[in-house]
This record gives sequence, structure tokens and C-alpha cells, in this order.
Amino acid sequence: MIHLLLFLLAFAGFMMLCAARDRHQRDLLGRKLPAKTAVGLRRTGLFLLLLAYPVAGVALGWGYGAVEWLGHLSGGALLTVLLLTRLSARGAPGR
Amino acid sequence: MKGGFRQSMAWLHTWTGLLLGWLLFAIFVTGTSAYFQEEITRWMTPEVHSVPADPASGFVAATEWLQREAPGGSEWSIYSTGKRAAGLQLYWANGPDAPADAPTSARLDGTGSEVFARETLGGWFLYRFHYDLHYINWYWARWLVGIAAMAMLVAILSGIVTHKKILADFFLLRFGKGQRSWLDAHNASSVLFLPFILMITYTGLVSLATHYMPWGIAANYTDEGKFFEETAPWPVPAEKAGPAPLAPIGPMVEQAERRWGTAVGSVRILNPGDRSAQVIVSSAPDAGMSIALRSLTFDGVTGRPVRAQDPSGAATVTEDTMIGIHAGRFASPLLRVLYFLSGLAGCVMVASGLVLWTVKRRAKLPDPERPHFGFRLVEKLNIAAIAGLSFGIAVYFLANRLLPLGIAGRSDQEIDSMFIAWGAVAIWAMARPVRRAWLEALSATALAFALVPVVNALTTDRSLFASLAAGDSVFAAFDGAMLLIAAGFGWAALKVARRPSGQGRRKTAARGSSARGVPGTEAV
Repeated sequence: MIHLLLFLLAFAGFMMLCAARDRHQRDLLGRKLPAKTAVGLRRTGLFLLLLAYPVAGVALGWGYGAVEWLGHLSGGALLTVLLLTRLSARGAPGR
Repeated sequence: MKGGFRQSMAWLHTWTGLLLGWLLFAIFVTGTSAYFQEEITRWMTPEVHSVPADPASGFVAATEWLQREAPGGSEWSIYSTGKRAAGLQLYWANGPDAPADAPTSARLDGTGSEVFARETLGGWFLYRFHYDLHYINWYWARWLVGIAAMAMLVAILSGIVTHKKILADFFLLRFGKGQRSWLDAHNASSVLFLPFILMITYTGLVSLATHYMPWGIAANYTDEGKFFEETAPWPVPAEKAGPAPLAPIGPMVEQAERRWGTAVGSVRILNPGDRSAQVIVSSAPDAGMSIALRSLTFDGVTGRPVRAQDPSGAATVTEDTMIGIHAGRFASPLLRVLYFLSGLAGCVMVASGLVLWTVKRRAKLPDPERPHFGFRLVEKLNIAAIAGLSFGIAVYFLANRLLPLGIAGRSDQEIDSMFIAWGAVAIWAMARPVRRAWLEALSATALAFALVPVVNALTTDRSLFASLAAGDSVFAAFDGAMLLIAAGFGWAALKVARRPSGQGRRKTAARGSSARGVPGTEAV
């Protein structure tokens, strides 16, 4: 359960960081976000990524938790990138 | 000045990456496989059906077995690699009365009975290859691997400097755009997995640091043996003093487990059945993040603990923890999968970097139909290294199932098969036009991996369906992984087949217009 939570935190964090980017908003959300919302998303996303470390540390031990945290960060980022790639391929036909 | 610095870093990145890229790819692939070393070994020894469920009782059963089969020996040792071990490995030194050709090793399964598995080095060979290579002296091999790892570290750091927009391009992975796609794949695999890639390269160098920098030991010890004697003592049997019964092993193992809070990984018994008997119980290699083992020595007659050896010294603990994080033996199944995934990302990073070198230069060649010798050499070596090694590993697994069971030097023949297959792809790549060679080598690799579960089903009673029905996750996952890898190579072969020929020359014309012809295709 804790492992799933860690992965979800990492995935949600990177999705928010991605959505905070001007160039990805159209692919990801279909519209552009106000600058204020984007800043909020960026901060929340970063917070979730950082929050995952103490969660992992308390639940799994600080050493083991650190290794697993970094693993989940890479996994969450990879899923975000693959999802974005899929969405942007669909959103822009004829490429 | 800034542009100049970045340019010189780009140059450094390109050439360190290229020159040692082929070796690095082999190190990354075999090293990544080592995260499932025990599982590979279990698949390669299908005769072993059960693994020790409870290590403590396994050691007791193994001691009873040794008492029956190797009485009078001066030393018994029982090893387990931990929770994922494919049985217990036993070694012993025979007494003076035993015939010279009496066996000195055996393997026990989970029930404590001997298993006669086929002769193979299994996953251990791939693990060992990733730092000792093969056919060449290990001393020089480690130097080669160390130079490659140092080049890797240089390539990573100079790559970070060269990559102008790490944060801006963080999420970008665009398919179907030729060179741009290769660069995206190279960036994504390295940036997203940067913590792992930096860690694995640095800790890899640390694990062989005393090999590359022996001066610390040389300055303080008269020879290396003395250093190891002091840091990792290895007691040998004393002079025999007269018979006395061996105290039960079970309570010693339990006492050690209670003391450490972790599982026991090995039991060594010196002079069993003698008054001078000693029992050395050590912790399991997968018990903690550090690779340093703890041990507890018992008097073999009274069963009382006489000596404890625990890791000490901040520097040693740091070093052992770094090596532990590199090897990942402590990892749970989930973390192991993350390790494996990260390793694969490293393989993709090296392979895409190697291919990128040619893609980038192909467009600038004066005559792309007749590239110069250096360019052709790199193209061919890429095929030999990337597709060749992969094909070789598939053949290694096939040879494990297809070579006759009783032949002499069977494990060596498995290894030879791998290198013959690898060499065959290399020669094939030299002889064929590049695009055909890629297509054929990738297709052959896909086919070979797809054949692994088929041949397994035909030669053993542990087919994918049987494993699934029996709930045997290791065998089912291995066969499944082979099919996934086959699908990956098949997909790559399809990409090559669909790619229009002479793509490089039409690159500029392709911009802006849908030169690929079919909308939405992702041809690379």
C-alpha cells in the first residue's frame, strides 16, 4: 500500500509540474491555464515530490526509503512523459 | 566563453561516450540482468523445484546431510544467497580417509535433499561478466571496466553541461522526428533516471576502488593478504584435539538471528565432531543495505558464543553501503523491479547515444551513399554491440536448455555459445549493408528471445502454462519477460523496416511537409 502511495505521489507531482508548463498545457488539458494557476500547480507538484521522501522515510526507514523514493520519482516521471507523448500524438494529427 | 565551455563539454561527451559506449552497453545490459541473478539461476536449473522456506531449518537439515554424507571432514560450509536463493550450496573438505576424487560440494533444495541440477553458471555468469568480462585476465578486465566507468562519469557530467534545457525539455519525448527523436530518447532515459545513473556509475567505481587505487593498502600493510586477514578474518581449522559431539546448530542460528534481527546466510563449521570445533554463523547477503556481513562464532561443543564480528569504522560502513546500494541485494520485489527498470533506462541511454552519433553525422556526410571508413565502422560496431550482445544472451538461455545434460564442461559451452552468437552477429553486420544488417540482427534477436519460452516448454515440464497453473511466479515471470523483450526487439525491427531508405538526405526536405507519407506514423 505504501508503495502505491509513493508512486501516486511521484506521478501526481510530475503531472502537475508538466501541466504547469505553457507548452504542455494544450496537449495535456486542451486549454491554456492562467499564470496564477500554473504557479500553484508547480508549487503543489514540487511539494508532493518532496513530501514523498518523509513518507517513504517514516514508513520504510530513511535509507531504504531514500532509494525507493528515487526509484518512484523516476517511475512517475517516466509515466508522465509517456502519457504526454501519447496525448500530444493524438492531439496533433498529421505529424 | 560560455559557448566555448559548453562546446568543449559537448566534444568531451561525444567522444568519451562513443569510444567506451560499446563496452558500457555490455556492462549495463549484463549488470541490469544481475538484479535478477538468482531468478535467472533458478530458471537455468529447472531441476531445483523448491527453495528453502525457512533458512534456519534449512541449515539444520544441511548439517544433518553433511553428518551423513561427509563425516570426518575438517570443514563444512553451507551458503544461502538469501530469500531468493535457488537452494543451499554446500562445500566441504574431506577427511584423510576419503578417496581423492570424492565430491566436495553439493546443492540441497528446500526439503534438504540433494538435487542434481545441470551444470551451469546461470545468472552468476552475467553478473560476473559485468565487471570481470570473459576470456581475458580479470585483473586487466577490471581496469578496462574501470576506465569505461570513469568515461561514463565524465560523459554524464559533461552531458549535463551540454544539455542546455534540462528543465525546459524535461517532459519531451517526440516520436517520428528522426534525429530529434533520438536526442529526446537519449535525454529522457538519462534525465529521468539520472539519480540511478549517477549512483550506479559512482558506486561501481567505489566497489573496485582498492583495485584502481591500491596505495592506501600498500602503505599500511606488507601485502594485500594481511589487509584482508585483518579486515575480513577467515579462520581455518585448528589441529584436531579428539572426538566430541557437535552441539545442535539450530539454537546457534536462532541466537544469531535474534541478535541481529536479520536472517542468517551462511554457517561454517570447522573440525565438526572434534573438541576444537567452531561454528561461524554469518548474516545473509540480502539482510541489509550494506554488503558487510556480521558474524558470530560459537564453540562447536558447548554451543556458546565466543566471538562476534560486526562491521566498524565510518569509512568502511560508507563504502560497504555504497556497494550495497549498487548491488541492490536488499531490495524488495517492487524495488527490484524499479532497479531493473532503471538499468534498462541506462541501456537505452547508451544505445540511443551510440545511434545518435551516426544519425547526427549521416546528414552531414559529403556523400551519404559512400560514407567514410570511420563512420561505417561505428555503424557496424553499433549493430555488433547492441543487437549482437542481446542475441548472444538469448542464445545463452537457449543453450542452457538445448546442450546435452551430461557433457563435460557444459557450463563453459553455454558461455561459448553466447560469444559465438555474439561474434556471428558482428561478422554478419560487417558483411551486410547497414540497414539490412540492423533489420536482420534485430529480427533474429526478437526470434531468439521468443524461442526461449518455446524451447523451455519443449525440454522441461515447467512451461509457461504449467508455471502459471502451479503459481510459480519466478518461472512464469522469466518466460513472460522473454516474450516482452522479444516484442521490444520485434518493434525495433519493424521501425527499421518501415523507415524510408536514404532518410538522412531528405531530412531537410522533410521538415514542415509530411514527408513520411502516412499521417500519424511514428517511424523513427
